[in-house]
Amino acid sequence: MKLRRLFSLALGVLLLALSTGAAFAADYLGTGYFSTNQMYRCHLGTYTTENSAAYSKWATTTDLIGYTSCNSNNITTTGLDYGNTGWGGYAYICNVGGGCGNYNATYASCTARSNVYYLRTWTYTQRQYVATHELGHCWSLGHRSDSTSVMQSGQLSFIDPNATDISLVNSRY
Amino acid sequence: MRKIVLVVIITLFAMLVGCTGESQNIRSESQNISSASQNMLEVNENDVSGSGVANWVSTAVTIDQLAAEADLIARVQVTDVPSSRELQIAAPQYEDETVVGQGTDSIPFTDSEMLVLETFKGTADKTITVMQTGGILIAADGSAINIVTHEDPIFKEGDEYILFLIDISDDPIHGQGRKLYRTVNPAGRYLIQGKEVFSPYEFPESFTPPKTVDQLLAQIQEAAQSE
Repeated sequence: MKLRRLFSLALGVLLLALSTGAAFAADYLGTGYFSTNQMYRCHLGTYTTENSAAYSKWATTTDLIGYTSCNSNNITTTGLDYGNTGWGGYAYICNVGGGCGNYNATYASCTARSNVYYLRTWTYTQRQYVATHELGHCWSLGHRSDSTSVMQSGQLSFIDPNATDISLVNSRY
Repeated sequence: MRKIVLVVIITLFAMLVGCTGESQNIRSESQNISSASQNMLEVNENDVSGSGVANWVSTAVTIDQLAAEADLIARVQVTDVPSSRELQIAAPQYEDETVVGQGTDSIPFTDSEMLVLETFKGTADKTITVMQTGGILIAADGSAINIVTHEDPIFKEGDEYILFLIDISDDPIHGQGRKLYRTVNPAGRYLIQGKEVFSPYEFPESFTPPKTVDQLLAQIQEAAQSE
Protein backbone atom coordinates (compact mmCIF):
# COMPACT_ATOMS: atom_id res chain seq x y z
CA MET A 1 0.00 0.00 0.00
CA LYS A 2 2.82 2.35 0.97
CA LEU A 3 4.62 1.45 -2.23
CA ARG A 4 1.52 2.31 -4.25
CA ARG A 5 1.22 5.74 -2.59
CA LEU A 6 4.89 6.40 -3.15
CA PHE A 7 4.52 5.45 -6.78
CA SER A 8 1.51 7.75 -7.28
CA LEU A 9 3.38 10.63 -5.68
CA ALA A 10 6.48 10.06 -7.80
CA LEU A 11 4.40 9.83 -10.95
CA GLY A 12 2.52 13.04 -10.11
CA VAL A 13 5.71 14.98 -9.41
CA LEU A 14 7.33 13.68 -12.60
CA LEU A 15 4.38 14.54 -14.84
CA LEU A 16 4.06 18.01 -13.28
CA ALA A 17 7.77 18.70 -13.74
CA LEU A 18 7.78 17.51 -17.34
CA SER A 19 4.62 19.38 -18.34
CA THR A 20 5.69 22.64 -16.67
CA GLY A 21 9.12 22.55 -18.26
CA ALA A 22 7.76 21.72 -21.70
CA ALA A 23 5.08 24.40 -21.57
CA PHE A 24 7.54 27.10 -20.56
CA ALA A 25 10.14 26.08 -23.11
CA ALA A 26 7.64 26.11 -25.95
CA ASP A 27 5.49 29.10 -25.08
CA TYR A 28 8.07 31.82 -24.41
CA LEU A 29 11.52 32.59 -25.76
CA GLY A 30 12.64 33.23 -22.18
CA THR A 31 11.74 35.24 -19.11
CA GLY A 32 12.42 38.67 -20.66
CA TYR A 33 9.99 41.07 -22.31
CA PHE A 34 9.38 44.81 -22.75
CA SER A 35 8.86 46.76 -19.52
CA THR A 36 5.96 48.63 -21.16
CA ASN A 37 2.87 47.59 -23.08
CA GLN A 38 3.15 50.69 -25.33
CA MET A 39 4.73 49.81 -28.66
CA TYR A 40 5.92 52.24 -31.35
CA ARG A 41 6.39 50.68 -34.76
CA CYS A 42 8.26 51.85 -37.84
CA HIS A 43 8.08 49.88 -41.09
CA LEU A 44 10.80 49.53 -43.72
CA GLY A 45 10.17 48.45 -47.31
CA THR A 46 7.18 46.68 -48.82
CA TYR A 47 4.21 44.74 -47.30
CA THR A 48 3.10 47.76 -45.29
CA THR A 49 -0.54 46.64 -45.30
CA GLU A 50 0.20 43.09 -44.17
CA ASN A 51 2.41 44.32 -41.34
CA SER A 52 -0.07 47.03 -40.28
CA ALA A 53 -2.83 44.42 -40.18
CA ALA A 54 -0.66 42.03 -38.16
CA TYR A 55 0.27 44.79 -35.70
CA SER A 56 -3.40 45.76 -35.33
CA LYS A 57 -4.37 42.16 -34.64
CA TRP A 58 -2.08 41.96 -31.64
CA ALA A 59 -3.03 45.45 -30.42
CA THR A 60 -6.77 44.85 -30.63
CA THR A 61 -6.80 41.36 -29.12
CA THR A 62 -4.25 41.80 -26.32
CA ASP A 63 -3.35 44.40 -23.68
CA LEU A 64 -0.64 45.80 -25.97
CA ILE A 65 -1.11 49.36 -27.22
CA GLY A 66 0.20 49.84 -30.74
CA TYR A 67 1.35 53.22 -32.05
CA THR A 68 3.30 54.03 -35.18
CA SER A 69 6.44 56.17 -35.07
CA CYS A 70 9.77 56.18 -36.86
CA ASN A 71 11.32 58.67 -34.43
CA SER A 72 11.47 56.69 -31.22
CA ASN A 73 10.28 53.25 -32.24
CA ASN A 74 10.92 50.10 -30.24
CA ILE A 75 9.46 47.86 -32.96
CA THR A 76 10.70 47.69 -36.57
CA THR A 77 8.92 45.60 -39.16
CA THR A 78 10.36 45.07 -42.63
CA GLY A 79 9.44 43.73 -46.03
CA LEU A 80 12.76 43.40 -47.86
CA ASP A 81 14.59 40.98 -50.15
CA TYR A 82 17.20 39.18 -48.01
CA GLY A 83 17.83 36.54 -50.71
CA ASN A 84 17.76 32.73 -50.59
CA THR A 85 18.38 32.45 -46.85
CA GLY A 86 15.98 29.60 -46.06
CA TRP A 87 13.76 31.76 -43.85
CA GLY A 88 10.60 33.67 -44.67
CA GLY A 89 10.61 35.59 -41.39
CA TYR A 90 13.32 36.51 -38.90
CA ALA A 91 13.05 38.32 -35.59
CA TYR A 92 15.62 39.47 -33.12
CA ILE A 93 15.43 41.49 -29.97
CA CYS A 94 17.89 43.87 -28.29
CA ASN A 95 18.06 44.45 -24.57
CA VAL A 96 17.96 47.37 -22.17
CA GLY A 97 21.52 48.21 -21.11
CA GLY A 98 23.06 47.15 -24.43
CA GLY A 99 23.47 43.88 -26.24
CA CYS A 100 20.96 41.81 -28.14
CA GLY A 101 19.41 38.39 -28.02
CA ASN A 102 19.22 37.82 -24.28
CA TYR A 103 15.71 36.42 -24.02
CA ASN A 104 15.90 36.52 -20.22
CA ALA A 105 16.66 40.25 -19.95
CA THR A 106 14.36 43.25 -20.47
CA TYR A 107 13.69 44.02 -24.13
CA ALA A 108 14.60 47.44 -25.57
CA SER A 109 13.69 46.86 -29.23
CA CYS A 110 12.65 44.19 -31.68
CA THR A 111 13.00 43.80 -35.44
CA ALA A 112 10.51 41.55 -37.26
CA ARG A 113 11.57 40.81 -40.84
CA SER A 114 9.61 39.47 -43.79
CA ASN A 115 11.76 38.08 -46.61
CA VAL A 116 10.43 39.25 -49.98
CA TYR A 117 12.57 36.61 -51.74
CA TYR A 118 10.02 33.96 -50.68
CA LEU A 119 6.99 36.01 -49.78
CA ARG A 120 6.62 37.58 -53.24
CA THR A 121 5.04 34.33 -54.44
CA TRP A 122 2.96 33.83 -51.28
CA THR A 123 -0.61 35.03 -50.84
CA TYR A 124 -1.55 38.15 -48.91
CA THR A 125 -2.88 35.90 -46.13
CA GLN A 126 0.36 33.94 -45.90
CA ARG A 127 2.39 37.16 -45.75
CA GLN A 128 0.13 38.32 -42.93
CA TYR A 129 0.85 35.07 -41.09
CA VAL A 130 4.60 35.71 -41.31
CA ALA A 131 4.19 39.30 -40.07
CA THR A 132 1.93 38.24 -37.19
CA HIS A 133 4.24 35.35 -36.25
CA GLU A 134 7.37 37.50 -36.21
CA LEU A 135 5.65 40.17 -34.11
CA GLY A 136 4.68 37.38 -31.70
CA HIS A 137 8.41 36.85 -31.09
CA CYS A 138 8.67 40.57 -30.28
CA TRP A 139 6.15 40.00 -27.48
CA SER A 140 8.47 37.19 -26.25
CA LEU A 141 6.48 34.24 -27.58
CA GLY A 142 8.47 31.23 -28.77
CA HIS A 143 7.58 28.61 -31.38
CA ARG A 144 4.51 26.81 -30.06
CA SER A 145 3.52 23.22 -30.80
CA ASP A 146 -0.22 24.13 -30.73
CA SER A 147 -1.32 23.53 -34.34
CA THR A 148 -3.87 26.38 -34.25
CA SER A 149 -1.36 28.90 -32.90
CA VAL A 150 0.03 31.62 -35.14
CA MET A 151 3.30 30.89 -33.33
CA GLN A 152 3.59 27.39 -34.72
CA SER A 153 6.48 27.53 -37.15
CA GLY A 154 5.85 26.65 -40.77
CA GLN A 155 2.04 26.44 -40.79
CA LEU A 156 0.30 28.94 -43.06
CA SER A 157 -3.34 28.29 -42.18
CA PHE A 158 -3.91 29.94 -38.80
CA ILE A 159 -3.00 33.58 -39.24
CA ASP A 160 -4.66 35.02 -36.13
CA PRO A 161 -3.46 34.76 -32.53
CA ASN A 162 -5.58 32.12 -30.79
CA ALA A 163 -6.93 32.36 -27.23
CA THR A 164 -3.76 30.88 -25.70
CA ASP A 165 -1.46 33.17 -27.73
CA ILE A 166 -3.47 36.14 -26.46
CA SER A 167 -3.47 34.88 -22.89
CA LEU A 168 0.30 34.31 -22.99
CA VAL A 169 0.89 37.90 -24.14
CA ASN A 170 -1.53 39.33 -21.61
CA SER A 171 0.12 37.47 -18.77
CA ARG A 172 3.23 39.56 -19.48
CA TYR A 173 1.68 42.88 -20.48
CA MET B 1 1.65 -6.29 -7.84
CA ARG B 2 4.99 -5.24 -6.39
CA LYS B 3 6.73 -6.47 -9.54
CA ILE B 4 4.44 -4.36 -11.74
CA VAL B 5 5.08 -1.27 -9.62
CA LEU B 6 8.81 -1.96 -9.77
CA VAL B 7 8.72 -2.24 -13.57
CA VAL B 8 6.78 1.04 -13.84
CA ILE B 9 9.27 2.81 -11.55
CA ILE B 10 12.20 1.49 -13.59
CA THR B 11 10.48 2.70 -16.78
CA LEU B 12 9.96 6.14 -15.27
CA PHE B 13 13.61 6.20 -14.21
CA ALA B 14 14.65 5.31 -17.76
CA MET B 15 12.46 8.16 -19.07
CA LEU B 16 14.19 10.56 -16.70
CA VAL B 17 17.60 9.36 -17.87
CA GLY B 18 16.41 9.92 -21.45
CA CYS B 19 15.45 13.49 -20.57
CA THR B 20 18.85 14.02 -19.02
CA GLY B 21 20.42 12.75 -22.23
CA GLU B 22 18.46 15.33 -24.18
CA SER B 23 19.65 18.02 -21.81
CA GLN B 24 23.18 16.92 -22.49
CA ASN B 25 22.55 17.28 -26.23
CA ILE B 26 21.20 20.74 -25.67
CA ARG B 27 24.15 21.58 -23.44
CA SER B 28 26.51 20.30 -26.11
CA GLU B 29 24.94 22.66 -28.66
CA SER B 30 25.00 25.49 -26.13
CA GLN B 31 28.70 24.93 -25.83
CA ASN B 32 28.89 25.24 -29.60
CA ILE B 33 27.00 28.51 -29.41
CA SER B 34 29.45 29.74 -26.80
CA SER B 35 32.36 28.59 -28.90
CA ALA B 36 30.93 30.37 -31.94
CA SER B 37 30.46 33.46 -29.84
CA GLN B 38 34.02 33.18 -28.61
CA ASN B 39 35.26 32.93 -32.19
CA MET B 40 33.36 36.08 -32.97
CA LEU B 41 34.60 37.77 -29.83
CA GLU B 42 38.14 37.36 -31.09
CA VAL B 43 37.17 39.68 -33.92
CA ASN B 44 36.32 42.52 -31.57
CA GLU B 45 36.51 42.54 -27.80
CA ASN B 46 33.51 44.85 -27.61
CA ASP B 47 31.21 42.33 -29.24
CA VAL B 48 28.17 41.18 -27.37
CA SER B 49 26.30 37.99 -28.09
CA GLY B 50 22.79 37.92 -29.46
CA SER B 51 20.22 35.69 -31.11
CA GLY B 52 17.62 35.72 -33.83
CA VAL B 53 14.59 33.49 -34.38
CA ALA B 54 13.86 32.28 -37.91
CA ASN B 55 10.66 30.98 -39.47
CA TRP B 56 12.09 28.41 -41.89
CA VAL B 57 10.47 28.01 -45.28
CA SER B 58 11.22 24.29 -45.40
CA THR B 59 9.41 22.21 -42.81
CA ALA B 60 11.44 19.07 -43.59
CA VAL B 61 12.47 17.26 -40.42
CA THR B 62 12.80 13.55 -41.27
CA ILE B 63 15.81 12.24 -43.15
CA ASP B 64 13.49 11.29 -46.03
CA GLN B 65 12.11 14.82 -46.28
CA LEU B 66 15.53 16.47 -45.94
CA ALA B 67 17.08 14.13 -48.53
CA ALA B 68 14.28 14.87 -50.99
CA GLU B 69 14.91 18.62 -50.76
CA ALA B 70 18.71 18.53 -50.62
CA ASP B 71 20.91 19.04 -53.70
CA LEU B 72 23.90 17.75 -51.79
CA ILE B 73 24.24 15.53 -48.73
CA ALA B 74 27.80 15.45 -47.46
CA ARG B 75 30.02 14.70 -44.51
CA VAL B 76 32.19 17.77 -44.08
CA GLN B 77 34.81 19.29 -41.82
CA VAL B 78 34.78 23.01 -41.18
CA THR B 79 38.15 24.48 -42.16
CA ASP B 80 37.51 28.19 -41.87
CA VAL B 81 34.86 30.43 -40.31
CA PRO B 82 35.70 33.86 -41.70
CA SER B 83 34.43 37.21 -40.47
CA SER B 84 30.82 37.75 -41.37
CA ARG B 85 29.66 40.02 -44.17
CA GLU B 86 26.90 42.54 -43.62
CA LEU B 87 23.96 42.86 -45.99
CA GLN B 88 22.62 46.42 -45.93
CA ILE B 89 19.32 47.24 -47.60
CA ALA B 90 18.04 50.80 -47.94
CA ALA B 91 14.29 51.30 -48.22
CA PRO B 92 11.54 53.84 -47.52
CA GLN B 93 10.37 54.15 -43.91
CA TYR B 94 6.64 54.07 -43.27
CA GLU B 95 4.36 55.16 -40.47
CA ASP B 96 1.34 53.05 -41.43
CA GLU B 97 1.01 53.72 -45.17
CA THR B 98 2.82 57.08 -45.18
CA VAL B 99 6.46 57.43 -46.23
CA VAL B 100 8.32 59.46 -43.61
CA GLY B 101 11.92 58.98 -44.69
CA GLN B 102 14.57 56.53 -45.75
CA GLY B 103 16.05 53.80 -43.58
CA THR B 104 18.49 50.91 -43.75
CA ASP B 105 18.26 47.37 -42.43
CA SER B 106 21.45 45.42 -41.80
CA ILE B 107 21.88 41.72 -41.23
CA PRO B 108 25.08 39.66 -41.07
CA PHE B 109 25.82 36.41 -42.89
CA THR B 110 28.71 33.99 -42.33
CA ASP B 111 30.14 31.88 -45.17
CA SER B 112 32.07 28.92 -43.72
CA GLU B 113 34.59 26.95 -45.74
CA MET B 114 34.33 23.18 -45.48
CA LEU B 115 36.32 20.20 -46.68
CA VAL B 116 34.08 17.56 -48.26
CA LEU B 117 34.96 14.17 -46.74
CA GLU B 118 32.19 12.08 -48.32
CA THR B 119 29.06 12.68 -50.39
CA PHE B 120 25.80 10.74 -50.10
CA LYS B 121 23.78 12.67 -52.68
CA GLY B 122 24.94 15.01 -55.42
CA THR B 123 28.48 15.93 -56.38
CA ALA B 124 30.72 18.63 -54.93
CA ASP B 125 34.18 20.14 -55.20
CA LYS B 126 36.77 19.21 -52.56
CA THR B 127 35.83 22.31 -50.62
CA ILE B 128 32.47 24.06 -50.38
CA THR B 129 31.14 27.29 -48.89
CA VAL B 130 28.07 27.15 -46.66
CA MET B 131 26.13 30.31 -45.78
CA GLN B 132 24.39 30.95 -42.46
CA THR B 133 22.36 33.89 -41.25
CA GLY B 134 24.24 35.42 -38.33
CA GLY B 135 27.56 36.87 -37.34
CA ILE B 136 28.80 40.29 -36.31
CA LEU B 137 26.59 43.29 -36.96
CA ILE B 138 27.89 46.81 -36.36
CA ALA B 139 25.11 48.86 -34.75
CA ALA B 140 24.41 52.54 -35.40
CA ASP B 141 26.33 53.53 -32.25
CA GLY B 142 29.41 51.60 -33.44
CA SER B 143 28.98 48.70 -31.05
CA ALA B 144 29.19 45.16 -32.40
CA ILE B 145 26.26 42.79 -32.06
CA ASN B 146 26.86 39.07 -32.44
CA ILE B 147 23.72 37.61 -33.98
CA VAL B 148 23.34 33.85 -33.65
CA THR B 149 20.26 32.22 -35.12
CA HIS B 150 18.31 30.08 -32.67
CA GLU B 151 18.71 26.37 -33.55
CA ASP B 152 21.44 27.27 -36.07
CA PRO B 153 24.62 28.37 -34.25
CA ILE B 154 27.55 29.41 -36.43
CA PHE B 155 29.63 26.39 -37.46
CA LYS B 156 32.80 25.85 -35.48
CA GLU B 157 36.19 25.40 -37.11
CA GLY B 158 37.42 21.81 -36.87
CA ASP B 159 33.97 20.29 -36.27
CA GLU B 160 32.56 17.56 -38.51
CA TYR B 161 28.99 17.55 -39.73
CA ILE B 162 26.65 15.68 -42.00
CA LEU B 163 24.78 18.40 -43.87
CA PHE B 164 21.71 18.43 -46.11
CA LEU B 165 22.46 21.31 -48.45
CA ILE B 166 20.73 23.40 -51.10
CA ASP B 167 22.73 25.00 -53.89
CA ILE B 168 22.07 28.76 -53.80
CA SER B 169 24.84 29.75 -56.23
CA ASP B 170 22.30 31.46 -58.51
CA ASP B 171 21.03 33.75 -55.75
CA PRO B 172 21.74 37.30 -56.98
CA ILE B 173 22.27 38.65 -53.47
CA HIS B 174 24.50 35.99 -51.91
CA GLY B 175 25.75 33.86 -54.82
CA GLN B 176 27.71 36.54 -56.66
CA GLY B 177 29.20 34.13 -59.19
CA ARG B 178 30.49 31.61 -56.64
CA LYS B 179 29.40 28.13 -55.62
CA LEU B 180 27.39 28.59 -52.43
CA TYR B 181 25.23 26.34 -50.27
CA ARG B 182 22.95 26.63 -47.27
CA THR B 183 21.30 23.89 -45.21
CA VAL B 184 17.70 22.96 -46.10
CA ASN B 185 16.91 24.21 -42.58
CA PRO B 186 18.67 23.60 -39.23
CA ALA B 187 17.13 20.11 -39.03
CA GLY B 188 19.54 19.35 -41.88
CA ARG B 189 22.70 19.70 -39.79
CA TYR B 190 24.09 16.92 -37.63
CA LEU B 191 27.24 17.49 -35.59
CA ILE B 192 29.40 14.37 -35.41
CA GLN B 193 31.04 13.63 -32.09
CA GLY B 194 32.64 10.19 -32.09
CA LYS B 195 29.94 7.70 -32.99
CA GLU B 196 27.13 10.05 -32.00
CA VAL B 197 25.35 12.83 -33.87
CA PHE B 198 23.71 15.91 -32.39
CA SER B 199 21.24 18.39 -33.77
CA PRO B 200 20.41 21.84 -32.38
CA TYR B 201 16.95 21.65 -33.96
CA GLU B 202 13.86 21.44 -31.76
CA PHE B 203 12.21 18.46 -33.46
CA PRO B 204 8.47 17.86 -33.13
CA GLU B 205 7.56 15.16 -30.62
CA SER B 206 6.36 12.96 -33.49
CA PHE B 207 9.91 12.51 -34.82
CA THR B 208 12.90 10.98 -33.04
CA PRO B 209 16.11 12.09 -34.76
CA PRO B 210 18.97 9.62 -35.26
CA LYS B 211 21.41 9.55 -32.37
CA THR B 212 24.38 7.82 -33.96
CA VAL B 213 26.35 8.17 -37.19
CA ASP B 214 25.34 4.63 -38.15
CA GLN B 215 21.64 5.36 -37.64
CA LEU B 216 21.89 8.58 -39.66
CA LEU B 217 23.79 6.95 -42.53
CA ALA B 218 21.35 4.03 -42.63
CA GLN B 219 18.43 6.47 -42.88
CA ILE B 220 20.20 8.46 -45.60
CA GLN B 221 20.81 5.27 -47.57
CA GLU B 222 17.18 4.27 -47.16
CA ALA B 223 16.05 7.70 -48.34
CA ALA B 224 18.36 7.55 -51.35
CA GLN B 225 16.98 4.14 -52.36
CA SER B 226 13.38 5.31 -52.13
CA GLU B 227 14.04 8.32 -54.39
